[in-house]
Amino acid sequence: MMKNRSLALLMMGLLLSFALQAGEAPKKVKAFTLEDYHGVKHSLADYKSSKAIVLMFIATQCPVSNAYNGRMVELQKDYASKGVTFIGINANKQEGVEEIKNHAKEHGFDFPVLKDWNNVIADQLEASVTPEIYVLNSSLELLYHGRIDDSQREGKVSSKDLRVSLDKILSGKPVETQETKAFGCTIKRIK
Amino acid sequence: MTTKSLLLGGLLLAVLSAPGCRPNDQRNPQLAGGASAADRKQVETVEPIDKTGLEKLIKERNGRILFLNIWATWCAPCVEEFPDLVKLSRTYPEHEVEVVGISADYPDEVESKILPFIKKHDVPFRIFVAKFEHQEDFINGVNPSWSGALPVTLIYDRHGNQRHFLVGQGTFDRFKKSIDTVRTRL
Repeated sequence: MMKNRSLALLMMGLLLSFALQAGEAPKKVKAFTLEDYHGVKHSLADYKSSKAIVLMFIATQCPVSNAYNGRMVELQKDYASKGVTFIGINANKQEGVEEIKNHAKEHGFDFPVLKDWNNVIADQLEASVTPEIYVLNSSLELLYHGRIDDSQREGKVSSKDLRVSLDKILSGKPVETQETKAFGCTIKRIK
Repeated sequence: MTTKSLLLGGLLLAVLSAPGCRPNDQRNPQLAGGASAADRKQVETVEPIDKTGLEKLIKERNGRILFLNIWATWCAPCVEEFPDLVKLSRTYPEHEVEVVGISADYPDEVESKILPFIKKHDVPFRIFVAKFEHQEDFINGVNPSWSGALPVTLIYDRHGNQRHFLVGQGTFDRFKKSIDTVRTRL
């Protein structure tokens, strides 16, 4: 009787230990639909066959976000063929569709830029600056959140955090640094 | 002998009570001569500040409250709130509330961006430029719970304890209210 009780306690302890080691379950992002600057609707559900979905909160007027325009284009070039989907989201109240369209054209964006008019998605994800990145898997679980890299000056970059995360995801390995701090312009919300 | 002692004592008292001669007085040298808060002159220089400098700034209070604003010339809400910061700095005596700005622009942009901004806004309080190896070091050095979104304002009491952490654009009234809650504490 005593032996069975000890065994049960031991099993419970082991289970608790495994649960703690496993850590928290990844945060799941609620599916959403937004329109791009052509008025075409994009839903996260459309990209469920992707190996990763990269949501990029960007701006047309923010110098920090603009410093990353070229790097975003390069990321798209390097990873789209590997099954990664890139989606830009503009949640700044003062930046309209026409401005977003011209900005995307001017900088050669080959990814859709969606307009988050009422900051619904920015609020849901708690995005606060541009540029700010969210990487999801096909189940819409958040695998990485934060910056593209650690310097707005490309020549001073020492940590390419988004690329490192995408490489890990594509190789089926866990992302070691799931959270970094994005530095940039505050998203101008409607209220 | 008694008359001589009285004269010397009086002279010493006059020297100690004169503006700019108090022990531990670290007021802006540009204020020497007893300029009132409203008469403060625009600053002319911007010094870099690193982790050690930031810690020193917060720790060495000398009985003054620190109102610390982190901003950048490229940050629209920072630029919008700046006139309110200038107004605040002209509201409180500097021996009571010290207003300091740390710019998140690059140190090599002092001449091209920060000084012209100071001139345009007639900034009368100390401005530093952040000099940290990595962005994250700066963010965590200011406050580990800060996301990195600008502007951010921190208010420290007379002992260097952080009392307010205000994220986002503020107003004169909001800032004044926060400062006044700290002023009423011992």
